[in-house]
Amino acid sequence: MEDMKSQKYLDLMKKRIPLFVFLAIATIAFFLASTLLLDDSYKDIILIAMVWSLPLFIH
Amino acid sequence: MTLTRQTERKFNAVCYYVFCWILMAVGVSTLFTYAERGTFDISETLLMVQFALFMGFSHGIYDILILKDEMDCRPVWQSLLIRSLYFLAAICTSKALCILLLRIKTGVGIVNEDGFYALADAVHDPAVQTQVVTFFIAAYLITFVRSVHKKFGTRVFWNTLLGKSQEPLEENLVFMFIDLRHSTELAEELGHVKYSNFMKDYYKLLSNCCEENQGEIYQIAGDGAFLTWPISACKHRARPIDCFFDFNECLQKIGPKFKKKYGAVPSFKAGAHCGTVVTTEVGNFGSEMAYHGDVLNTTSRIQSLCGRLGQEFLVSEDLYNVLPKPFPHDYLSKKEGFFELRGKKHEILIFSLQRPLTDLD
Repeated sequence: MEDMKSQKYLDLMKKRIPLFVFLAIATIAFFLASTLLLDDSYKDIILIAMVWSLPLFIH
Repeated sequence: MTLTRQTERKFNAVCYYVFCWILMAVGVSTLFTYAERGTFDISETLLMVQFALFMGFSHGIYDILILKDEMDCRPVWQSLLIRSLYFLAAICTSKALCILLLRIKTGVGIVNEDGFYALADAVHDPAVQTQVVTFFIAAYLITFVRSVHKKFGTRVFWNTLLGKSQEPLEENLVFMFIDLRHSTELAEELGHVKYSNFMKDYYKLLSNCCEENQGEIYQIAGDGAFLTWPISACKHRARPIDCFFDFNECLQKIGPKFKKKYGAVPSFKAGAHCGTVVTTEVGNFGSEMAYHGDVLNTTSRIQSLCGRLGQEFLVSEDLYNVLPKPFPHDYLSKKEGFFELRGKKHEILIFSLQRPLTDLD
C-alpha cells in the first residue's frame, strides 16, 4: 500500500518535471537579464514569455 | 533549413488556431464595441489582435504539441475539467498581458503601478468578464471545428455545417485500395489489443500521407483502406503515386519504431483505378458519404492481383492514361497484360509500377 502511494507520488512528480525545468530556466534567465547583461525591455520579454507559457503546463 | 513534413503539418495546424483566434477575437470585439458605442474602434481591434496572437499560439501549442493532436486518452470528465481550466487560465493570462503591455512605461517596464490598477479594474469590469466567457466558448468552438473537419473531411464538414444532405452526384474519381500485408498473421501474433494499437499507428501514418497529397480516405475496413482523389487533381500531378511513395518512405523511416514496439514492420500493396461513381449520402441517423459504382469493385480486384503477380502497386489502363508522364520518384511502368477480373465481363489491361533497384540520380 505504502509502495503504491509512493509510486503514485513519484509519477505525479515526474509529470511536473517540465514545469520545474521551465521555471528554473526562466528564473535563471530573468536573474541574468536583471543583474548582468541586459536592460529592462529584455526583462519584460522574459517575464511575458514566462507568464504566457504557464497555462500550457495545465495538462 | 527545410522543415520535415511532420513539423510542417504541426506548423500549419498552429497557424489554423492563430488564424481562427484572430478572426474570432477581432469579430467579437468589433461587434461588442459597435453594440456599446455605435462605432468601430481601431485601437480596440489592435489590442484584440495582440490578444488573439497570444491565445492562438497558446491554444495551438497546447492542442498540437502538448496533447499531441487530439491524442488525449483521459476520461471525458477529466479531459473536460483540465481543458476548461487551461482555457480559463490562458484567456485570463493573455488578457492580463495585453492590459499590462498597453500600459508599459519606458524605464519602468511592464511591472508598474498603473498597469496593476488597470488589471484590478479589468477584473471588476463587466465588459471584460463577458469577453472572458465569450472567448471561453469560442475556444471550445475552435477545437470542435478542427476536430469535425479532421474527422469527416471538408465536404462532410460543410454539409454538416449547412445541415444539408449530399445529393446524388456523378463524379470522376481516382480510387486507390491499400491493403496491409500479412494482417492475419499479425493479428494472431500480436493479440487483439496490440494489433489494434498497431493498426491505429499504421492508419495514422496513412491518413497523414493521404492528407498531405490532398486525398481523402473514403473507407477503412479492417486491414484495407480506400483513398480517393478527383481525376482532375491527378491530371497534372500523379498524386496516387506520390501518396504510395510517401507512405512507403514513412513506413521505412518509422520501421525501427514499429519493430521495437510491436516486433513487426507493416508493409502494404495497392491497386488503383479511376472512373465515374455516384457520390451520395446514405442512412439517416449516423449517415455517411458513399461512392456507388463499379470502379470500387474493380479497384479492389486489381489490388488482389498484387499477390498473384508479385507486385506492390498495380494500376488500370484507364488510370495509367490519366496520370502525367514521366511518373514521379523514378517510378517505371510495366505492362502486365490483360486480366479477367472476378465479376467482370471484359478484360482489363493492368500496369505495374515499380522503382528501379539502382538510383537513377
